[in-house]
Amino acid sequence: MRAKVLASAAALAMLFCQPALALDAPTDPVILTITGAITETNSDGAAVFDLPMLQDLPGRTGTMETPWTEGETAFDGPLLRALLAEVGAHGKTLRVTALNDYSAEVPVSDATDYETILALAMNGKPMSVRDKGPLFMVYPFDLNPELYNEKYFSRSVWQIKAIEVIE
Amino acid sequence: MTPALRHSRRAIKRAGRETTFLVVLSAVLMAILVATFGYLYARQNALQDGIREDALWAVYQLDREARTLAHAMSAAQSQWPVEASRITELSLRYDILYSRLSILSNAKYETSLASSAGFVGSRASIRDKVLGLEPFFNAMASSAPLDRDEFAVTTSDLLALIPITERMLTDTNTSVSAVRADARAEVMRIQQATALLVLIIAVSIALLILNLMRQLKLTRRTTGQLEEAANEISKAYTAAEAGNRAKSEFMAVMGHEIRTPLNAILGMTELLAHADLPEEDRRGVKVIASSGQALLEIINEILDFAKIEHGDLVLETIPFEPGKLAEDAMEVVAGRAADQGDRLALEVSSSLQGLAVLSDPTRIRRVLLNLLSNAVKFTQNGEVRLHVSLPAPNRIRFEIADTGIGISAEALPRLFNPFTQEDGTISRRFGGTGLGLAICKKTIEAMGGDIGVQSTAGSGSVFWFELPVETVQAPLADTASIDPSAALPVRNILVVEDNAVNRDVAQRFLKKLGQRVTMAIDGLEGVSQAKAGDFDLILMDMQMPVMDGLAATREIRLHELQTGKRARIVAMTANASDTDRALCMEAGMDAFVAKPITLARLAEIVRGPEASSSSPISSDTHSDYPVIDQERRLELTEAFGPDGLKELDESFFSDAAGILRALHAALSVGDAASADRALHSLKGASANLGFVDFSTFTERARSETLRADLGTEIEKRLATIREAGEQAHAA
Repeated sequence: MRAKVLASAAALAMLFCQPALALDAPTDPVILTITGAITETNSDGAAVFDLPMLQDLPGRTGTMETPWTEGETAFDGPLLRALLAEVGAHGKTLRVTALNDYSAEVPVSDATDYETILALAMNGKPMSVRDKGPLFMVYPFDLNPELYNEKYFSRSVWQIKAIEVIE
Repeated sequence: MTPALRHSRRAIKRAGRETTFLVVLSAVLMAILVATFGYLYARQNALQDGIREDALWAVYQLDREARTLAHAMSAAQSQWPVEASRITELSLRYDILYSRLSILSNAKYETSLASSAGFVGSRASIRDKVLGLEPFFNAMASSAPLDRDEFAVTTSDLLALIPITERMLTDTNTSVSAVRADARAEVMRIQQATALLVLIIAVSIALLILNLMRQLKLTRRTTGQLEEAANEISKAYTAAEAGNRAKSEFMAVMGHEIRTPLNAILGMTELLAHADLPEEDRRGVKVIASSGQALLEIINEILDFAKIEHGDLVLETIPFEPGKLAEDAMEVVAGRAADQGDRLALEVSSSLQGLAVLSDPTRIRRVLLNLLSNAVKFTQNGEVRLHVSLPAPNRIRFEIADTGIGISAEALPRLFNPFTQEDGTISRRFGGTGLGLAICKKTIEAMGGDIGVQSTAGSGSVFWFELPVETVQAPLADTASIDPSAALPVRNILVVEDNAVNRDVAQRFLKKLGQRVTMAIDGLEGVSQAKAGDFDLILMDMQMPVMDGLAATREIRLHELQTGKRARIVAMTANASDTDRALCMEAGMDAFVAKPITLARLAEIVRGPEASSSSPISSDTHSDYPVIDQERRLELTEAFGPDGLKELDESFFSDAAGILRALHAALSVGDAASADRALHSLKGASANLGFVDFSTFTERARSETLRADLGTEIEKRLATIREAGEQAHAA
């Protein structure tokens, strides 16, 4: 377990060795704020993102069943680890907070070990707040069926508004 | 089987049945256990598939969002007019509540919950209420001006929603708890059932182990008992064997004991028969002789029977003419037949003319006499007919038909059964169903033949037997009985015999044959006599006090090594078993003669090994055949004179030398036809001159596969008869 964590940290360190470009300031309304142990910021001690900024990050589309949707549903959005790299995050845990102030702790390894995304669109359409938008943490249940259990369900935060990187 | 063994066997069988039952029970229980685990596994899989979002959590979130919105609305209402930032927040709050609603209606929950009427009803009512507020909040989101009354109504609507979501939360909690409790109860039940099953299996296996241990113990015990039983059987067998051996020894001893005085009786009778007696006494002597002979036959039969029983009957293979043998047998019963007023008829099939067969004439004669005397015994004023034939080239058949009282159908099957301890007496021999027929059957079967009978009560019987034989050319067409003393060489003979009467008989016989006789009363005296005198022939009794025949023979042979001379030593014995033969040979004897000794047999012994019908000690049964047929020789002497015969012999031997060369040549190149021609010439010429053994040998060689050493063998045999012939001429 410890080895794995160390390996994950090492992998992250490798990523962060590349000189990160300074974050641009958002032009559209901010939908995600990242704080905590990060090196790149574009606001007062925080990295803030609008929709285009997030859409520019490397991402994936996964089609899967979830407990909260009817039938096979396609989710599309930036990879969590790409986002963390973008902000130069160096922590072990993420505290993910939703619009209703619900928050869940997600280990950073979930970002490095799995193709976890922050979904921006469901079935090709942007998600409104009423549809669990604007950001929905989606684990790759299609690639890793073993993740399909209550432990990961509770980490599947929707209506995400902020992420705090904790060392 | 002992009772203990029987008991053990039953116990083992019972234990085996119990084991089978327990094995089946365990197997069934195991199957049930496997099925249970299968069910558990399937259930676990179903659980895995049915991983659901937590309904309680979703309802709680809904309740919470409803409260948050309601309270935010109340707060906003109390600070009218509402600020823009508050409007945005209220709008977001509504959106969140809305999203909760859709989650609640879309998401998958436990089926029991999803189908519960309370849950569905509450959900529908909440849904209606929330969706009913949608136009208001849509308008608010699009920054339309707010109407205070409408705001108040919406707020009170939202406040009214709270008790409903609260109730739904309670209902869901109750329902989820019930489901959980049910699931726990089911798991418990399955667990208990499994535990019970495992317990039963454990008990069953424990019983199985106990039973197997018991079975093992029983098996061990039974094995012990079986070993014991086997030991007992083995002991019983040994005892029976010992008993049987004792019986055989007793019979052999009895036979010997009876034959010794009988020897004397028959010998003296034969001497008396040659004495000058009044006619009346002569008839008496004849009766003594025939009765003695009959008694001897009975003893021989008993001994034969014992031998057959033990499977150590030694059969001989001697050429004889079956016609002549049948004639002799008829003569034996002729007297009794005459007494009974029976006619005797002998028919010898023409296919047997001039043929001799190779078999055991002594035994055939005994069987024939048995059947003939039975036939005569049970026929009065009738006819007894003996028919001898060759039904197949290598099979001889004797058939005795009588016109007597016949045998009942019931008696027929057990006719040939041997006597048993209870009803077997020698007297039954003349009863027609006693020892005699049993011996006949055993004898014939021992010779590889068949014996049988056809009979109807009141109309006579037909007894028959068939034997496999080899046919050879009869050496002579016919021979007349000759004086046993005729042309006998005079030899210096030593008789070593402890029995005074036997000694007397032997002395008188030999005197009658014109021999020079010296007597010794035991082995020791025999040895000293042999050392002192120069004997051609020593007749040696086997059983003697002080020194027995074998020891004496060894001594004599030892002494002869110094003198370089060699006397013929012939054993006189009542027991002519194989062991005796072997012992005689080992001791250095040349031949043996069975007691009682007759004048004719004695004459043969005196004549020499070539002419003796006493059995030389040799494993080669063919050499039982006399080397030279003395009767034929006498006939030839009468016809041509001694010198003429000598000339004939010499021309035969010179011819034979030439033929032998041809044979050697033919054999060396494997020319079977030429070899056969040579053998045929040799056979014909030798038969004419009475060289019976040689003639038989060459005849036999013709039918056998040619072997390379045949020439040498014939050469040797020619030398033997030449020597014998020269001795005869010299005499």
